[in-house]
Amino acid sequence: MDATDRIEAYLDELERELEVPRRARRRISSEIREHLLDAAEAERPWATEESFAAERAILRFGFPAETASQFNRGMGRRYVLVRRRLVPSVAAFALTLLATATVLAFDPGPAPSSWQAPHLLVLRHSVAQPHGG
Amino acid sequence: MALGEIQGHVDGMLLAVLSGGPLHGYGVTEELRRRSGGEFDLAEGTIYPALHRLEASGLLVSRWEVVGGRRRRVYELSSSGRRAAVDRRDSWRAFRRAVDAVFGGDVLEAG
Repeated sequence: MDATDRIEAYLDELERELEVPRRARRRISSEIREHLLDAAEAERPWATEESFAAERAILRFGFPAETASQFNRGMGRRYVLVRRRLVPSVAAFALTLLATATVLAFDPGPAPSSWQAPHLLVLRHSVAQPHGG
Repeated sequence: MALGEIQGHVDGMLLAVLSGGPLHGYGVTEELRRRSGGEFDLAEGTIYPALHRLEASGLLVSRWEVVGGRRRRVYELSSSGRRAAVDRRDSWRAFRRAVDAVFGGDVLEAG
């Protein structure tokens, strides 16, 4: 595994642990990627191989779960709360809509009355008394 | 120095470091290490949640910039961040004087 692969594996793990909106996750991942590349470059003179330099940079950065939990405690907490409340509400609303639509689709509804369908009444009247008859 | 000892001061120190001008995250950690003479060699991952938190509270602003051929997120103090940096420095100095006074007494007695 080379330096870039090692850094990407770290970022994958970090992203799995993050409970923040997708856009924030992308930004965090990009920022930390750049940081780790800088740090690996700085470690290069003390490491025999590039991958070791990346490993040292990652060790200095800290465990992905720990970093993610700090993000989650901040912006993630609000996001998780909103998601926990919003998702069931939206799902309940969608189910209600679907159920209503289904009932309406199968319900033939009341028989047309004179005030509901005046055109039918006019039609019946026209058949009973044709013009010119 | 243990992380626990500086945990409550990380935000203030980040504001102080950024008082010197805009920096990207790696630059912030380097400057923090340099200014502390290597004492604050904390896990670098702790810096980013703090930077994001300070930005969310309006004390920092950030933007993407291309630095050294790479795209980096650069942070700088907002106007309220500049005021907060001065406030935090003043309150730290008052705290330090008080602690110095207490420890100073102990040291004199012990000596």
